[in-house]
Amino acid sequence: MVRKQTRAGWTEWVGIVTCAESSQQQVRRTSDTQTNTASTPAANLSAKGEKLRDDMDALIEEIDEVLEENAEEFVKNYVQRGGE
Amino acid sequence: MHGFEYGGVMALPKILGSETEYGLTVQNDPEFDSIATSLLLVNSYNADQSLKLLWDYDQEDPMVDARGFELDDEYDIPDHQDNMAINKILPNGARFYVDHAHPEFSTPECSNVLDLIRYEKAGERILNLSRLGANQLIPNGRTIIIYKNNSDQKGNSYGYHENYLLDRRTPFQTIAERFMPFLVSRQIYCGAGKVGSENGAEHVPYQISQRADFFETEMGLDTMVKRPIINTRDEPHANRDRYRRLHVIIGDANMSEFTTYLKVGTALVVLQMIEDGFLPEPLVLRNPVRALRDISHDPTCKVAVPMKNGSKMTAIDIQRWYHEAAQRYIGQYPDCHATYPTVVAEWGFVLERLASDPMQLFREIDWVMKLHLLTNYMERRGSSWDDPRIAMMDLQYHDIRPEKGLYYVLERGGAARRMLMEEDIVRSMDDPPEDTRAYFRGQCLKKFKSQIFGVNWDSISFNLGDGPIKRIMMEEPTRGTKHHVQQLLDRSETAADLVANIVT
Repeated sequence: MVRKQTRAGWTEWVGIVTCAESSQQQVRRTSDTQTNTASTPAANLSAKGEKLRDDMDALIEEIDEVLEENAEEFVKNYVQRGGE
Repeated sequence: MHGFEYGGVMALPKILGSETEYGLTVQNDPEFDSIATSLLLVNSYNADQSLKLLWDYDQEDPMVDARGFELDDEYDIPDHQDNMAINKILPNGARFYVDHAHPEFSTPECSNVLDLIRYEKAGERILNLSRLGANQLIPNGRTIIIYKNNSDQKGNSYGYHENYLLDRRTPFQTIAERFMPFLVSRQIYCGAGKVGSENGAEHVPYQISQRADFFETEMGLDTMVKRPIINTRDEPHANRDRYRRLHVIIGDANMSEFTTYLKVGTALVVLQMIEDGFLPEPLVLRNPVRALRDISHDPTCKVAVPMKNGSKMTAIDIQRWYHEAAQRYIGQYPDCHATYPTVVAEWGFVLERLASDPMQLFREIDWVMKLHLLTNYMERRGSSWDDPRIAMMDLQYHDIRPEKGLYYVLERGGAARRMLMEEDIVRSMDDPPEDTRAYFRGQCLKKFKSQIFGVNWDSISFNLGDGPIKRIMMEEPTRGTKHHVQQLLDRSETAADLVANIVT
């Protein structure tokens, strides 16, 4: 579950994020064809769910490796002049 | 207001292009100078072959307003030396230059959405090569970093502009009225996503668009202050009697190929319907500026905004209205354009998913891809929106370095839906599109570069050594294609031959 924010009115918002872990997502995530959302036998779902979680765990690990150090300082120093 | 003729497909071919202003920083440089770094970047691409030629400002009129008046603001034209330093015209027909304090890449003129995304992505690769070259020229320990986004999160925004060539006969007001609700609502499938809000907008943890907080008026000439939803700049870079160039400044720069495809593809279909009189009774928003912000601030895509007729519509409702018209349009005119039926099918697919659960689009749409990544990160690391790493990820999603950019991490992991083959992107860094005037520009740069004096979108001029500069006008963007000029190029050994062969 995604941590719920304390700010009122955000519960529904967090809800849509949680939906990303739904079974339909798991099917699509492991498939190369984007439009293939056909139902998969329920028995396969938990296995696919685990695969999805593992993929996401690996992705988050990689993010931590590439993320700039001293995030707070880095973001503070990123100042642009307006353009266009 | 819509008293023009309604008939079959009459619309002229929609030539298009995009301009991306990139964000920029230098790590470990306390005196970072954005203008000097932009200059260094623009001059570091393919430096040994760098072309010493001018951008021809004679043809530019950025102060002319589509509603019929002209500002007399001063418009600075750089001197020759500065001109050559800040402008590079590339053999693929693109322009790579310094705009204010940012490096900017304008794609060559394209005839369809797939070419547009190919050249826009080639632009990212070109910026990255420039970055690698420029890094060799700055002190050790410093690194130039480039972001394809639109905000520094401190109230400063820089642009991403789309350009669509339209028929001068379609009244500007007709275009503006019918395009406005489309632009306000399309962000639900083309926003790049942003943590927090800016520019005095009320606080939200996350919003759909990078740019929505910065738009303050409905229509106008400005791009840097009081930004308008409909920009009225009337500078066609083409035959002024025949064409106008709609300059769309409201879009986010996208990392996702699919998101860019949908953003540009749907705009093309809607503009063509407008020109063909297929939207006779437009939807009218009561307050477009407010609606833009309210829609951006609601990632559930459920907020309904007031319409002038007293009803309320969600962004999905508004988009469905346009999408249903588009389905009727391609049903009635199946030959309207080879790319449109697929665009309209994908558009429908995306609207369905936005209506049932936007998070299903976590491989397709930038703002959803980013939100999905951030929420999963927070869940696993036990952090929240105020974690500085979340703001860092929001920025780093747009880092154009393949090894560091978080979009590219997703792409490598198969978590981003792609539209292009990598080899087509690489090829597009050097070769111009074959079916617009960009072909002639690009091939001239390849073949006669030492004799080219100056270039603009609609002209190219040669210095033949003796006599005056010879300027060739290219006022028709659909000409100068491979089909039109290949024979001419083949039988012209030198620029002098070329000029002689054109004149005779």
